[in-house]
Amino acid sequence: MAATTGESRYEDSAPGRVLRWLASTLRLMARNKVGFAGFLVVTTIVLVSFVGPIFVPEDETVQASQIYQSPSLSHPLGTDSEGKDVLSQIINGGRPILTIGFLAAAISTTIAVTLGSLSAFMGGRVDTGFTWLADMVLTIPQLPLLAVLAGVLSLNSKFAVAGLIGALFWPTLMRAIRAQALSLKERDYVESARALDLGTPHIVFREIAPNMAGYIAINFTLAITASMYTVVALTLLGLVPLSENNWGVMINLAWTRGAIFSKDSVFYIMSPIAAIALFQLGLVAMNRSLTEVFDPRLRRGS
Amino acid sequence: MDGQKVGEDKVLSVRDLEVGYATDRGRVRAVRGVSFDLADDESLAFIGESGSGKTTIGLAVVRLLPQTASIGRGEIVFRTASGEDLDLTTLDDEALRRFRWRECAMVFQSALNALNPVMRIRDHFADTARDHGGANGALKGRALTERATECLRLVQLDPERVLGSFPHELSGGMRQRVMIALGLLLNPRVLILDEPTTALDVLTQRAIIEVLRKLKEDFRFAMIFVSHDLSLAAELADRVATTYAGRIVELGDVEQVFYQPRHPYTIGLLNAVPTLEGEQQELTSIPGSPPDLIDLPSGCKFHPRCPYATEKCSEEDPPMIEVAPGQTAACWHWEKVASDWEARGGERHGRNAHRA
Amino acid sequence: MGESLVSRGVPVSEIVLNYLPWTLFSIGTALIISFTVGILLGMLMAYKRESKLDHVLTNIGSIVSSIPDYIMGILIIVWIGVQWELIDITAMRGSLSPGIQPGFNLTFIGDALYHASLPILTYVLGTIGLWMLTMKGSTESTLGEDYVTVAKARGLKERRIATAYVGRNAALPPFTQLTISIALVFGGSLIIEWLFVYEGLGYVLYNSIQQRDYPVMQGVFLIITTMVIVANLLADLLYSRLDPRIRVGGRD
Repeated sequence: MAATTGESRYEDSAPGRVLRWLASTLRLMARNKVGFAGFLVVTTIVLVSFVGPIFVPEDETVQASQIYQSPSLSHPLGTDSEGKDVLSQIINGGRPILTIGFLAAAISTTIAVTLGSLSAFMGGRVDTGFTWLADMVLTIPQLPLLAVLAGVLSLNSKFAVAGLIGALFWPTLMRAIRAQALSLKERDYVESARALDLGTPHIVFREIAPNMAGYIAINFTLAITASMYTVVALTLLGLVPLSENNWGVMINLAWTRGAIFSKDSVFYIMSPIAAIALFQLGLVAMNRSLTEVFDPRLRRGS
Repeated sequence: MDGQKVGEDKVLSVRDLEVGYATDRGRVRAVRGVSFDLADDESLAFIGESGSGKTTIGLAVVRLLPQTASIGRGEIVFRTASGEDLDLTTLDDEALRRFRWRECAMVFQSALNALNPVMRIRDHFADTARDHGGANGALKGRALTERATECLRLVQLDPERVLGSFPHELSGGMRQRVMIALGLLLNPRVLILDEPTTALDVLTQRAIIEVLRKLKEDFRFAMIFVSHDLSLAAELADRVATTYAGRIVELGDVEQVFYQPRHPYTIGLLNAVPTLEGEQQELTSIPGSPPDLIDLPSGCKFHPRCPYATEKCSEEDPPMIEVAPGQTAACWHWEKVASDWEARGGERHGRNAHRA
Repeated sequence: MGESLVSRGVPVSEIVLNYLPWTLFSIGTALIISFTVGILLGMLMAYKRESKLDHVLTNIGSIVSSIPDYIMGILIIVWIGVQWELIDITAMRGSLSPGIQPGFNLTFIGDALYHASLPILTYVLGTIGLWMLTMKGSTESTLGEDYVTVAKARGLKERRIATAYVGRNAALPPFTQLTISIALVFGGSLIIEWLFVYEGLGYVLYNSIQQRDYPVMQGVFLIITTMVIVANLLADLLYSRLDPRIRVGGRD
């Protein structure tokens, strides 16, 4: 491929590099069929949830005569307790849940990586302190703590909710990172004590990242799922302010309005559950590709 | 039933035994036609390098080959204490279970993990006794404790200390001796010991050898040793069989094999043992390496490494030839081997190796 | 621990003592059932490795263990209760049928079990997958241990080997997972008891949050956390009894 000066300038630019990275990632994903299918599912759901609402506004019209209709052409997923279309609610309801899930996972992963590496490299009281903290957080039952805090603090913003959830999810990953960092620390120490002086954070992110990237990535996707289920649980319990309609709110409304106990409303209650479950399935499938992407040993011959 | 009947005093008779393992690369021919008899009070040692098939022979007798292995053909006939002749290759599972340990006990090498970590030693004895109930009821209660104590004393362990212990509280050597004691519990006709002294320190090795020697003197049962250690054979065996590439290549009385070896491989093994007395000898190891058991050489399997090899050796695999009364060797040129051996001061050389 | 704000004059400790036994009952029963059935299935899967049964159970186990507890509860209500009408959901609400007096008799215990059955089922389904898969792996590796081969060589009966040699040793690693399950189950009691209107501590906690009854909230939360810690300690103690290799202060 002959590169003219014009072309190379284009390719070296930031958008060019991002596009190339995207293309190669797609290619890597495509290696594993199951993983690729998962990737498609995940991307579709994300797109539908974030872009869909622009095209399909939520059905606000209350039609008492249309309560709990079965699926039909005009209402592919039936209607809810007020005659509103379920499908549009599903399309509009994913964004808050996905956002919080993603945010919480990001927060907890960051905390885990930071605390884990700091703990390992600084040792001593810092290490003991952080490990103790991790054990504490692990012992306290999560949902009751979140419920109590949510009830007492009256959470309004998505960030607050995500932050709270993220603050409880990090211990397991932190331990794994700490263990890995500790073993790396041994190696470095033997090779050159001076290297430690050069800049611990530098080593941490240069050594740990490549080795554990796969594990961290997979853990991240699992954290997204767990966080999503947690926020839905809190919403179901009515502890998160129900300002906008989302998948969690749909389940909550189904419960409070007795939809669960009625035979006709099965689509109304199952749709949000199915949406979340589908997303989870997609992530799990995608993990197979992720394992391959990050572990060169597993990559099948190119 | 047809086939061989075991002789008057014989307890085990093996004929043309073939055992193979299935692997990705093909069938590993671990045992290629082994035949021998075992009298009910003799010790027979199988000596050879790893991979020579000696352990597989032992496993085949108690039918404990791994899943990937199978007995191709051959007969293993065992005469039980009650005088019955059993064809071990055709026994059903339950008969096999009753046969194991009661008639023939196999003690594996390295007993480090041979005992259940969550059970005390006395429970191991109790388990063994209970599942071999028999017509008179199982050995239990005080009778069991007495018998277990007796067995532990025979292997020079302190019963009071050992019976109540868990396996992790005992040293490796002690665990090996416990296994031997367990093996003696039911008075088996045959005791098979796979590398009984490997992986043990020298002092413990000595202790075990003494234990086995004393058992041999005091009791009437047959022993089969499997080892790569010649000195073990020298101390404890009545007869020795050297194995190579899945076959017995020489079989005879211990003195015959040590003082008048007739197979080049046997001589190679003897030469490789250093002596403590006598003149300084050159230690020679056998050149080359053991053959690939999937893709064996033609003719005599030892010929690529044999100083006596001729064209005939690469074409025809020699059978066991009687080279002296009670001694057989699988070599076309055994006579030349014999004369060379005598010429080099034969017996004296052999005696040195014997004392090593 | 103070007094309730909502129910004036009622000490928090009294509230806790009233409702704690119900939670303990449901969680305790569930954990015992889940662990026992889980390790039995896991062992079965290992013995029948690669068979159809193994594949089916492994898949079921994976799927079931990835469904969160409360969703499982909702699914049970929606499908088994409402859609297929296999059980009477409304009758099973609450922890006791009206009119039944507590006491150590069969009617009481039977009724309590009836009402606790759905929460117990939900807890069991939520935790059994973990046991199954852990035990399967653990059994597979135990089957390869020397002492199992030697046990066969000793002519021991297959059943004895399966229980005392394989099972006993393979069950140890899954036991260490108990701590995770205990925390999960205690934490989940909040939403599960709410879902099934089962009057235990979780139910009380939920109500106290809704009603802003701070003393009760604190008290119950404290008790739940304490229970988790105590349960973990018990699990550790039990484990050291089961594995002689790590007995504290044993003989040497």
